[in-house]
Amino acid sequence: MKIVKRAGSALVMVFAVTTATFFLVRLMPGSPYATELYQLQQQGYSVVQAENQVRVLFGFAVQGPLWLQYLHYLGGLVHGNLGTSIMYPGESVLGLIGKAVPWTVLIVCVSLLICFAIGVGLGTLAAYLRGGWFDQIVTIGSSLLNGIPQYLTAILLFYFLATLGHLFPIGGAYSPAVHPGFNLGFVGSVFYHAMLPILSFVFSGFAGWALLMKSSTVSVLGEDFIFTAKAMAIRERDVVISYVSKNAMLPLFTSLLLSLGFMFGGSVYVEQVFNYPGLGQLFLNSTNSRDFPLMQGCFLLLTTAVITANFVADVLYTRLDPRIRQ
Amino acid sequence: MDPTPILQIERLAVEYHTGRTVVRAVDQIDLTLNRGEILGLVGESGCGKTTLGHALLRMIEKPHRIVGGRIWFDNLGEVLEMNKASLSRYRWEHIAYVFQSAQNALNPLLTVRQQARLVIQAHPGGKYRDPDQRMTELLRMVNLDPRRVLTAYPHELSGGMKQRVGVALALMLDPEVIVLDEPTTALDVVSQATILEILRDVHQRLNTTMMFITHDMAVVAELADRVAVMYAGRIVELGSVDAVFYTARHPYTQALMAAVPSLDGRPGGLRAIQGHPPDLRQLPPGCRFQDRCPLAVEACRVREPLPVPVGDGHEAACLRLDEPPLKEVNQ
Repeated sequence: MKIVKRAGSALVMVFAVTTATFFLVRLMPGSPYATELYQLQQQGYSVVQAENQVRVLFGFAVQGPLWLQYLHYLGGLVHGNLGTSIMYPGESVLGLIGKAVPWTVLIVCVSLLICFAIGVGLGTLAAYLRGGWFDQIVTIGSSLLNGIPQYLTAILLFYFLATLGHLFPIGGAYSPAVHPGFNLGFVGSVFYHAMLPILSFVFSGFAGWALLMKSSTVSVLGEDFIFTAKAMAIRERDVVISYVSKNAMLPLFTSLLLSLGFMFGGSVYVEQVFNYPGLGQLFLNSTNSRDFPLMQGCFLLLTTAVITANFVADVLYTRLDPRIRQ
Repeated sequence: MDPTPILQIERLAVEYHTGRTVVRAVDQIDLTLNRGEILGLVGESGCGKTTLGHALLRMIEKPHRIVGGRIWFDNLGEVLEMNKASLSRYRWEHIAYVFQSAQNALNPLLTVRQQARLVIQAHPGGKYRDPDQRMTELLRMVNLDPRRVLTAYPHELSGGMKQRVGVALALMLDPEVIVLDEPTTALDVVSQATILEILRDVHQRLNTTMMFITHDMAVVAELADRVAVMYAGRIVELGSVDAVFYTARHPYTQALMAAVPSLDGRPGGLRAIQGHPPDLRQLPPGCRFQDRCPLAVEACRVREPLPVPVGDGHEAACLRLDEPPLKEVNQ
């Protein structure tokens, strides 16, 4: 019953954000037509030529009053139709997003899980060895790394390893020479291309998790029930797993799930640096060209993903922490 | 019946290291626990009674240290020299602990049954193999309904119930000795009475030796056979409950008694002890109670009092034992 109620409120939230984005993107200065017109003029077309071109490009004007466009959009949504892209004429928004999602999921999901694993490991160790040299290195190092933005790492990696070193490809999700499908060449190429983007995330991304895990573990280690466990001579492995980690990981789960939700916003900077065909690129391009349907589609995906993640976190939390269960 | 010692502590000292300061929380403690007795350990907050309790299980964690003395356990020998494996068996198979904060002594993410299972798993050489059966039996003994409590998480139990689960867990491996650290302090009066009743019942059935740490004199009077009074890290008086309660010889014990309300409304009413316990970081030479003692003389500021016998199994550490008891002095 409680789950149904939560799911209902999640749906309402998705609807509200969808509506808000619909109007907000249209409040931005510029429109797809103006942008295109401007670009054509820049390319040397005369005003009249450019206008003709734009008219051909976008077909008949779908302008109409805003509320009519909105109803039109909602009608499409109900049928699972997110509209057609303006920037890529003839391509459906759903199709474009569908093509970009796997790449983003691949690099962001993999790096997030690696970051989480490294962070939890280092944080736990630092907490156990608190005050020692290992803790000092992890804590100070993580605090420093935490301040390094991912795009900086991305640019440096790109410059040294891809441009200068020629060790990694300079763009794309896989080599044009391989045939997409379940074959070794393709999979290998995908991983080869994903390597640097993932490394850009992981290089500093684990630091936040490490700091979080350390402080969480330290506070659990000070709990009375840990002392009791030692007095009972509970096996060390059981103390670490069932007593310390189980309690210390709890607050990290919500963060992890939310991060997984935000993953669908793509990673604009990293994808841009490596010219990686993920959601971040799509987001950026759609915004730059004022491709309203595509922008709405991207926002809708991100909203739904974050709200779903939140919902899953809520439901899962009641499984993980008996104190929250009814 | 002649008392047979089960646990003997000799000249035990525990130091707390915090930053640059060192505090000797427990100093030169000599104490013997006899098989089957209930010993009450009383004293103000901060006098070292919990530290002493922890030391008995060698649960003094770095940077704090047991710096000297011996703890000898019947049949097992020297506790302070045990290796890791023997220590793991010693803890909970031979000596168990009921914690002051029952509220937090249980893992909030595990059911009572799961915690009982981990205890049995940790002691493969113990007497009991079936954790569910053993825990069911013990939960009944502490007056809890096993069907309800076994599968419950700690937050689903009241404070008194958690404390009783704590007692059941302590009895899990049928230890010879149980240290009870203020098991009634955080509870309401009714739950306190229930716990005391259960402990008396457990003691009668299993004849478990108990060391009962408390600052509640009434609890000691009700439950204990002998009392040790601690002050600033030392034991200042030790004897049977009757001897210590009715013929207290150390001025601190006397003052402690005068600070306890009695049902018969003692004339003169309650008297708080003036001043504070000494700063353990910079102890004055001589007796530790000198600044608060009504009988203190020049010698007390120079010479450290050692425990001397003042009756049958009754001893006190005071230089002015020849003085009449405080009660009469004040009348």
